[in-house]
Amino acid sequence: MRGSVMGSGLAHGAVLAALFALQASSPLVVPGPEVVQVALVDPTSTTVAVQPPPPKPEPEQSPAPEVQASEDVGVKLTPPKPPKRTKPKQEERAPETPAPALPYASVGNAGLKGQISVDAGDFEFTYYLVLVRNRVAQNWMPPAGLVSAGQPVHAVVYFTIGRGGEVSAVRVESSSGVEFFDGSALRAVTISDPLPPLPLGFSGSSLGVHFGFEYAGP
Amino acid sequence: MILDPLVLQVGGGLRASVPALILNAGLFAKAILGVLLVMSVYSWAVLWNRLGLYSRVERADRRFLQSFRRLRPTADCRLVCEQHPRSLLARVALAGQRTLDQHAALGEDSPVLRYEVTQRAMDRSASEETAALERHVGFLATTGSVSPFIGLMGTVWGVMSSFLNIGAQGSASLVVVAPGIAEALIATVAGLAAAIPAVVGYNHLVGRLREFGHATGEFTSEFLDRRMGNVAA
Repeated sequence: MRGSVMGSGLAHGAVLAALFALQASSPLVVPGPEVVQVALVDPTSTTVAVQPPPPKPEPEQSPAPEVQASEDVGVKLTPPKPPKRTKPKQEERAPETPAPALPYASVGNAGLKGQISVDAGDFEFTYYLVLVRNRVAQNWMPPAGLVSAGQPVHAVVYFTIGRGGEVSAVRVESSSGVEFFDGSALRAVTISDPLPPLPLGFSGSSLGVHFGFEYAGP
Repeated sequence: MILDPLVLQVGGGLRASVPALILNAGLFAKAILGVLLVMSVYSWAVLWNRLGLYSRVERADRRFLQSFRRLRPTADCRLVCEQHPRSLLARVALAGQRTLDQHAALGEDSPVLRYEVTQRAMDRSASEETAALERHVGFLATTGSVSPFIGLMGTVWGVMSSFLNIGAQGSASLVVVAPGIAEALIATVAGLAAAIPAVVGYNHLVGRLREFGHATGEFTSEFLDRRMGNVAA
């Protein structure tokens, strides 16, 4: 009986080795969804007027329905075409700061505008940044009694996201001058821990994020 | 005002293969796969071992029957029995011959009683020998019935954690869900792969065992007829 067990074990090992050898040589590549270009339209925004609208993107603007379908329904199973990168242009315009991956846009419920930029220059998973922005904005409460008097209050919080989504090294990078506001921003980031895990396709072990908080009154 | 166009990209270029799924599986799934591997290895070993044993016994039985039928009815068959140590029928015949000789030496019993005692001794020997042949075969039935359930447990666990993952990522897109489900289904595949050969083998072995039972029954009556045919009448 012992001989039979050893023989059977060897046969199983051989079958498994053959399976591994065959499958490893031809891995299935599940095609990713097509890259979707969207334009974020913020008609109420006044702060971004400082930058003149770049002339190039104008003809590339997608029609309005595509803007609606930006989040996750824009997944088409056609072979991906080479994405039109517009980031290098952004880096040219502001070389001293990290490329803003998500510009200021109204998020959350309390008149907050959020902006995200990341340390990793090649981070292309914008959907992840949308998730992070929404999560942090959800947890942000406007400090009671803060009156901005027309002037937007602005603070940038820096933190790193680990592979599993754990938040660390939270600090105020650029203070707004209002301690309450800085505190509320820090608190929003801290209670958002853990964030969603980093995308599988991202190779780095952690992601440094500069999160801009802007508040212009309720 | 129109802001800069954004490039939104979801997932993209996921590499998947069965070995990668196995290697990336969680600890629980790996444990399930390990248990199923052990069960599969042991059940194939039982199948292999018993098939070889039954073939040897059947061959020895055929040769023994040929020799036995060439003997004169009154001749002592012990030598023939000992020449075929692997034969099931030879052992049954040996038990019958011994009982017959013991009672002949005493010389007190009536022939009818000797007939019945010999028959009972041969039946006892036959059931002992068949029980030895049946050893380990029950494990095949266990594997056949239990391993699909073990695999199913692994799958349910995997699907459960996959749903937890959906909750954590906050998105139910195919990219998030599919790898977890595929990983979970590996356990069911492994369970079925272990169970199917075990069930087929078990049914086959049980059929052969039944044939052994019939063969020993027929042989017992043949032996008694040749040795003591005049008594039963």
